[in-house]
Amino acid sequence: MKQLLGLLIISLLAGSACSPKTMSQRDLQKQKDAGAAETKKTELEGVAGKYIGELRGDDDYQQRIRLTLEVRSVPVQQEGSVDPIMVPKLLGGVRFILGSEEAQEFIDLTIKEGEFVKPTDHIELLMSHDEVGDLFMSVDRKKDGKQLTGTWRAPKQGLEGTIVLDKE
Amino acid sequence: MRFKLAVSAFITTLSFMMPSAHANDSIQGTYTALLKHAPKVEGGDEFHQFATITLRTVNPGNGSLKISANVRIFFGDWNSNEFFSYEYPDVPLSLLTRQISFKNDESDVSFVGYLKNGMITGEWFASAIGRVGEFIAKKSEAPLPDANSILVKNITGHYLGMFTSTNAAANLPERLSLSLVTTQDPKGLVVSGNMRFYLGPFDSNEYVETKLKDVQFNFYNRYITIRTEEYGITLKGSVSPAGVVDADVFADGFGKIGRTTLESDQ
Repeated sequence: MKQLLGLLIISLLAGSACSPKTMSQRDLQKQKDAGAAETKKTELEGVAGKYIGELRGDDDYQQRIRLTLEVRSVPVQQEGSVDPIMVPKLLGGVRFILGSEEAQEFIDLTIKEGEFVKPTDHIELLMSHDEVGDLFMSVDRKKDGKQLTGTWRAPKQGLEGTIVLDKE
Repeated sequence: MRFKLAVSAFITTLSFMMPSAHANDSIQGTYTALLKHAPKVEGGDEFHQFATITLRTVNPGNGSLKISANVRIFFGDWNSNEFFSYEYPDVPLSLLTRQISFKNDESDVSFVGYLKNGMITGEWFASAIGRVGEFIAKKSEAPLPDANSILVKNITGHYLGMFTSTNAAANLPERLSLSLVTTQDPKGLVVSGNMRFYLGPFDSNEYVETKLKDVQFNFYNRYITIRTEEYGITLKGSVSPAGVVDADVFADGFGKIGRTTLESDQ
């Protein structure tokens, strides 16, 4: 009888060890988020890069700028979730080249918010600067992504204009 | 091999001779400026003077570009030693308009304009008179004045003129000459000189000469006050940009004794 009981326990233990492991809800969500993040990252990487061109505005205003778009994964805390998820974001900066870059005659602005809408090939960017306040850029990808064209506006200064940038 | 070396040497020489892209694009450097004086009356004479604007840039790396400037305004030609130097430690340049302004509490001259394509254009102001006129400054070449514009003369010079008496009690000779000289002093431009009262013609030796005790001249509104060391004579009036002194003449104990108009003979 004792032998029979021993065999039963061994077979039970062996059975439990070989059965497929079921994932927790938390792991499933993490896996789903990671997949979505990867898809988003792939989308954004198609936009990332350096673009050079001009801002134009009233009174013959022309300002040479270089836009650098980068994909960075930023931890975001989701409501009801313990784990922060890594969300790829479109960030980077805009360099206002006021004179010679070699002579360091430029001002760098950091992109605070960047959004790429894949279906319409549209990019929205927000920067801010002490003097300018918020600076919004709204551009569309043209020529297979080799050109960005659109508009800019600085509500605090009441200024707006157009943007034309070519990929470097 | 020799040919390659020759070509390489030629290219190297050429690269030294050619201004670099950096030099062309850079906003720092010296700009030669033409400062215009708007006519005081419709259809009046146009005047101009020369200046240099030196911009210096520093990038402190905190999302700003610090620009400072020195402006040297000449009275007379480019090689004149009559000039004022103004320091502007902070020259703001707008990112979204490229508007640039040179002003501070210590300078009695200010400039507001736009820096575009290696050129600054705008308006300039003097605290003594307000808006003076437009200005243009270029790095590549000296801007040329309009053909009918007159250069603002330096005050240094020899002036000859007549005295018209309005007070019978005073007996001043009819012919006057005035010599003015400016020197650069740590405090600014100092004007000194002497005055002669001719008893005979200008080319005679019959004159009485006195040093000038005090000369106060405002280079922007052109008001002048001259006080002689002897005889208690004071001239109070203005010097036109073309170099004509037009002044009331006062004598101690008599008050206003007449008027004089003296013209530069140089």
